[in-house]
Amino acid sequence: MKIVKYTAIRMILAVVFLFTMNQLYLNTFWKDDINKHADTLENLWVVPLESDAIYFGESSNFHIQEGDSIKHRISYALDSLLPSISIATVDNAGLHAGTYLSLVKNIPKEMNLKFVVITVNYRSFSANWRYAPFENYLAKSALMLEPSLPILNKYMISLKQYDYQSDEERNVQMKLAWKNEKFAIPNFDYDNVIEWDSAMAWHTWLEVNPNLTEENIPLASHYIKNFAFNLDTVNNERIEDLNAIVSIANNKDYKVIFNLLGENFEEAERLVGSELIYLMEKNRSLLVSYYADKGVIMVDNFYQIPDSCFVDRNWPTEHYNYQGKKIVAENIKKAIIENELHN
Amino acid sequence: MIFNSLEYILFLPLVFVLFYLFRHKFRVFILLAASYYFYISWNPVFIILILLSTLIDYGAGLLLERTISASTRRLILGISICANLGFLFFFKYFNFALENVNEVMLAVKGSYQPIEAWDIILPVGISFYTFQTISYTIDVYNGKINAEKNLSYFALYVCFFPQLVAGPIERYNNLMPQLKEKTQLVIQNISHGGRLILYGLFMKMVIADNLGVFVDSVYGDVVGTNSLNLLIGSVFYSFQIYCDFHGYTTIAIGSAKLFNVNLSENFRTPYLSTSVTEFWRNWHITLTTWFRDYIYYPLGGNRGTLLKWGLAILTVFIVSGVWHGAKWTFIFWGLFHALFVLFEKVVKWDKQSTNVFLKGLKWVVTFTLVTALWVFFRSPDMDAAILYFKSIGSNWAIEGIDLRIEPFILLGLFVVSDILTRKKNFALSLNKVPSLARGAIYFVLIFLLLSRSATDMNPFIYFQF
Repeated sequence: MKIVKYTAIRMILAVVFLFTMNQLYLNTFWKDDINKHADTLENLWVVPLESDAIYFGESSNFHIQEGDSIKHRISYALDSLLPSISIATVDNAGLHAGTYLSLVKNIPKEMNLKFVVITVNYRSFSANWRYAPFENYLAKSALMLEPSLPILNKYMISLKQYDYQSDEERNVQMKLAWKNEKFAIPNFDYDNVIEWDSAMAWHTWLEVNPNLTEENIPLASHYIKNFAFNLDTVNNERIEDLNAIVSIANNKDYKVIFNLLGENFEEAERLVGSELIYLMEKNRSLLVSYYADKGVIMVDNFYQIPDSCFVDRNWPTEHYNYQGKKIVAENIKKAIIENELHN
Repeated sequence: MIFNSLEYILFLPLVFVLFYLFRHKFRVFILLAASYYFYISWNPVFIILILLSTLIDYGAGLLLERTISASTRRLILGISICANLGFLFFFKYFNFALENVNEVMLAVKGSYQPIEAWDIILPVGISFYTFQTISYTIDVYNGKINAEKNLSYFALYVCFFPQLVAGPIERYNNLMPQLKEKTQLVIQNISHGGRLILYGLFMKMVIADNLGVFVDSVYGDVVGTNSLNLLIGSVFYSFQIYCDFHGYTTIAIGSAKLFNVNLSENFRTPYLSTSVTEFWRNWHITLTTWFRDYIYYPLGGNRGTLLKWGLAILTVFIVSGVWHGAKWTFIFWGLFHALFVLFEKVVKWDKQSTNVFLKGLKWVVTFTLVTALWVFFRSPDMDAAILYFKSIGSNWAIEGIDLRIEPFILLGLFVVSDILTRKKNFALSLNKVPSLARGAIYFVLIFLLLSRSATDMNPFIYFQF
């Protein structure tokens, strides 16, 4: 009996302590910690509560081409195109569905949103991104933003209760995925990323593909590593994140728009070949139909951005000049208007 | 599984509940299973080493007790020690030896083809449990203790999880009677153990790991760092390693206390020492006493000539350096400590004085020396250590000084708590504090632990040894 009383008193005290400490933490160190570990949330804090929609994006939203006369974000262009809807922006470099999910969980309850626009980056489903070193930071951010007591989130970060892995561990996983994921492309000799990339790296393709040179082989290799994969709607972490976003949006009664970014398919085909386009198309159509079936408004920019709009020429990115950003904004606008008309 | 992990936070209460749920005769198996699980969670393969070490020393103990012939007893002791040190040598020193053989051979013969280093992983805790088992066999050999007949208890003595991976290095006659004692659930043990675990986590996660962030940044760019920051970095490292290891030990002692086991104290405010000799009486006490009993005394201790004594001191400290790691930096660290101890003996530095100013001066000198020697300990190699000292003198510009205030505040808080608990450990010191003040202390410690623990969690420094 004595031990029960002893434990009960301490348990009650612990709960009182915990809530008091949490308040103290919120009023002292929390903002600094958010700034350090999950700075994207700061963008969400400044979103006006009366906004109708939030555009969640990564660097594609704000990256500019040197010489662009208009330097607006995609989200800003969209806001201008739809004057009747106020669209707020939450963005940061390198984000993917995992971070958007944490942010969506943190949308203030007082907001009466009609839409959330989620940027979907095709590359974020690839092993190259899923096992990138930057994942540690994103996983840490996600934990920091969990809807639990912030002081406990902070301590869980100290205990590394997020998907922390060393760069070496992630590299091993990435290479395993490249090796184990079989493509089964008809009439094609290479069955996985490693084989495909090795063939390219050993320059055997220089003779086959007139578009390849010693200089652009590394870029071709990046295209294979980033674009060649089989989208797995059961096990891919990003699919799980997107599904969770859909589920939250359904519960909170706002529409979700998945803004599938355009990829430089022209360059991909020129440097690597139609086999890569075959895989990309297979994944794209699966992704679009998978989420359309779930009632998500899919904005499919995949083939919409011409090569001339892509800014980076040494790495496959979704950084567009203003013309490219405007195409994306126009497509989202169309989707929103169509949806409004339907309703 | 490490002490500052969620796994351990769940594991410890589970073992605790299971331990008291079962009757005394089953408890040894609960603790044994928990200890093996604890170790397996690091690396399952290396459990074989612990099992081998356990069987060798268990067998050696029994044989020693049954054998009368002095030469056979010496042979048994020799085999046991060689087997234990053999494992230790292979896993910890083989590549270091190979590297040095390569260098010597290259110097002798320019065309020598160096042998490549082997890919050897150091089993965590090997230096600690090896010393613990060696002490058992030597004590049986010397007739100080009787050989343990019960294999389960002996296995538990070797691998008792709170002190398995980084000590305290326990002697058989301290630990075994406690493991065998029939215990009841005592509230004081829970509160005592809980307090120590809390204080240990505070030392490790709040102080050591936060200081470590600064220290890592300084050691990561010695040339580009301002001299003042290099000095602060070396002082911070002194406290980082202290709080890291002291924190670990305190959690170990607290965890063991939950099972009514009192582990040995490892630290007694070593940085208040006024001589290097005194520092070693208060730093990593269980290792120091191990060296004293099994190396220093057998070499004659302070009973022989000054030369013989000096050689014993040199041997002990160099072995201590080697024990810490297979690097020349550790050997030099040990050697310099030995030289300072010898110097203090010659000039009678340790002579008691009531002069406060003199005591203060001695404290400053001692702390400065110990801190300077930690530079060898922390540096990856001798060149880096020398560069560190050179760089302290070369960049006194005002620009680039990094004076983040938070580590200083946390360190100040720790220093005060360390001084206040210098006579009794933290748990005992709290007994005399009024309950309201005690509550306030808990509040501050838990708040700091939850909110200010460093986010880039580092493993315990002493795990690498």
